[in-house]
Amino acid sequence: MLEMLGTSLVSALTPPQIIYMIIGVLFGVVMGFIPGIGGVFVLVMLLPFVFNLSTEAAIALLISAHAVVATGGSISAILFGVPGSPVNAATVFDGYPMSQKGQAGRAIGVALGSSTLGGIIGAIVLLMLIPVVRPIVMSFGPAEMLFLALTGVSMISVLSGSNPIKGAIAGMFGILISLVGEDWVTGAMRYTFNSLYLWDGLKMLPVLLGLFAVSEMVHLCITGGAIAKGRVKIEDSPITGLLDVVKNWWLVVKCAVIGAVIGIIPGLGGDIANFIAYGYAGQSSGNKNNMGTGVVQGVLGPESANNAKEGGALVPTLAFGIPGSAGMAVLLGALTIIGLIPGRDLLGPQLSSVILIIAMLVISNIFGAALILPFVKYLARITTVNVTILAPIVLIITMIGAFNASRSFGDIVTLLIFGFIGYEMKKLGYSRPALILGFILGVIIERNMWLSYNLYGIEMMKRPVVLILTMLLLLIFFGPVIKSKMAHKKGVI
Amino acid sequence: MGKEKNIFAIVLLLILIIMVLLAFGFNKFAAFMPLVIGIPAVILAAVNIFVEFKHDKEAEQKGLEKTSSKFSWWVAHGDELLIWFWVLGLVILVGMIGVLWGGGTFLFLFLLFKSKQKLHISLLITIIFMLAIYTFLFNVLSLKLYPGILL
Repeated sequence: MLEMLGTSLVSALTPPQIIYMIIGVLFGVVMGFIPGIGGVFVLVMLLPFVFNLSTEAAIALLISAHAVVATGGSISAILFGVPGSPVNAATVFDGYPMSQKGQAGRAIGVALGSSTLGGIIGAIVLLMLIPVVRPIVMSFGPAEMLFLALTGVSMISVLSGSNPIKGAIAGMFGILISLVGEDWVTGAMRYTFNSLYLWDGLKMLPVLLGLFAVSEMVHLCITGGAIAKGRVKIEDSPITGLLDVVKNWWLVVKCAVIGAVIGIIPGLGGDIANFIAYGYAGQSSGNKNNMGTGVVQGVLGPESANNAKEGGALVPTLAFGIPGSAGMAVLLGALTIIGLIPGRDLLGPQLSSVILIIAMLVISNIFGAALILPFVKYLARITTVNVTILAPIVLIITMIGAFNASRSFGDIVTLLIFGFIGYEMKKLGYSRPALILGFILGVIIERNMWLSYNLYGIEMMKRPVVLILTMLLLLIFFGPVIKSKMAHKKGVI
Repeated sequence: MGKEKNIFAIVLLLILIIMVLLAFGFNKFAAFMPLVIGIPAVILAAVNIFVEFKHDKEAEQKGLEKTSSKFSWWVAHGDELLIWFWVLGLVILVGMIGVLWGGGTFLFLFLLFKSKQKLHISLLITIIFMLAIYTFLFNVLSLKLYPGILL
């Protein structure tokens, strides 16, 4: 396999492939930067061009573009508090406060370094799992997904900041609004008030952009000045950020593994990978109480996870033809167009193409970061521009992004309503991240709860992965209590 | 802030109560999740209001927060209200004449009156922005831009 990897690397680095990779990376980064344009859109846009390309060139174009979308999205998340797509939502929590402190360059450096490392680790995970992937993917049924989603809910405590009651209310409210629309089990309409727009439920994009982008822009217009507050020294060099990644390399690796593992599970959706990694980064770095104030770990955790998840998501896509997300479904279609049939063929006679995909993942992640690095200095300067010029432009682009969620005016109204809710929540100390996490997980929990109940009944608790996840959940909930009791006991003795 | 905090908490509680009450009208499978999440959420929201009121009362006793007059409310929230009117204006403009023209009009007016830029600078930024949106997002990327109900 190593020999094949070498051959694929050589094949990936031939001039035509490099040109297609450059085009793909440029396209992916720019598209990722624009709010509302995710990986799916990028792949759909490139799809018509792959018909006339060789297999290698098509892989170079598609994989490189898809791999760096999250990297592009992290820049708008850090500079303006506007996540490029849901996978960048958790980057806003600490990346944007870093920009406000004048550390935009450092934050982008952290994002680029951890994204690159995460992407490479994701590719390595894919490479290592190919021979053993079948039992791993097959061991994840609805019951396992339910408990993994419940583990995700436990991260609300990390995202709640200093007010756990308000955090819990926000998380529960998020779960409740995720239930708007047609019930998956019975087909009954819930909270739709006879509105056709609400039949399909509230769309993720307008809710997310409203909560973070609109509320942030309104807040900035009121406070005035620039994004970088006060007379802060603008740290526009990304070098400090890259050094932060080196210093925290073990945390980056662990978060990347979290991202890759979540990416592997079809149907769970990579959107939660960055939240779980964020929560983990906060807990394991001992910086839990400072999360949300502009902590380096709050950027490198989610950024490494969201790039690593692409490698993980490719595992079921390539091995079984089971796309874990909409993006992977489009990629699957594209691979079929260029003659790659996922499954036995791809892992047998066409294995060299899989290795080329892995090589492309690695190279495009490095190349994406290298492409942005020279511009970080100028990007960081945007935070010093008067916000009354930036805000209306960002608001209109956000509106265009939100509208493309379902191409209905309802998207714009949703954006406005959640913009107002997000603004009030920010001002009054309610956790917006907790709400969005609840919103993402609500539907996943409900669907998998009914599925696993119908399939296994109470027997689901006896499944090995469920048992492990239950123990993990108990540890998350009672761990801090036991830890403090033990510390107290030690203090008494 | 204290009063505003309480109003928001009460509105949130009312929304949660309405969601729970509506859930009682769903069939048992559809109602399960809204009730399992909604009832504890209502209890927590009520506890939160109690905590907020208690905190406010303690602060008032210590003389930290005074009841704000109508005048001071306008001083504190006038800017906020104005910005929200701008945002609402943007939504109405977009709804009427679409993202391209509505967004362009909003940008021009915002730059001219709120940002206090000179007329030619406001116009220049608006034209460049509209051209960029039209060329890049509409033509190159074929992104759908909301056309508005009047155009």
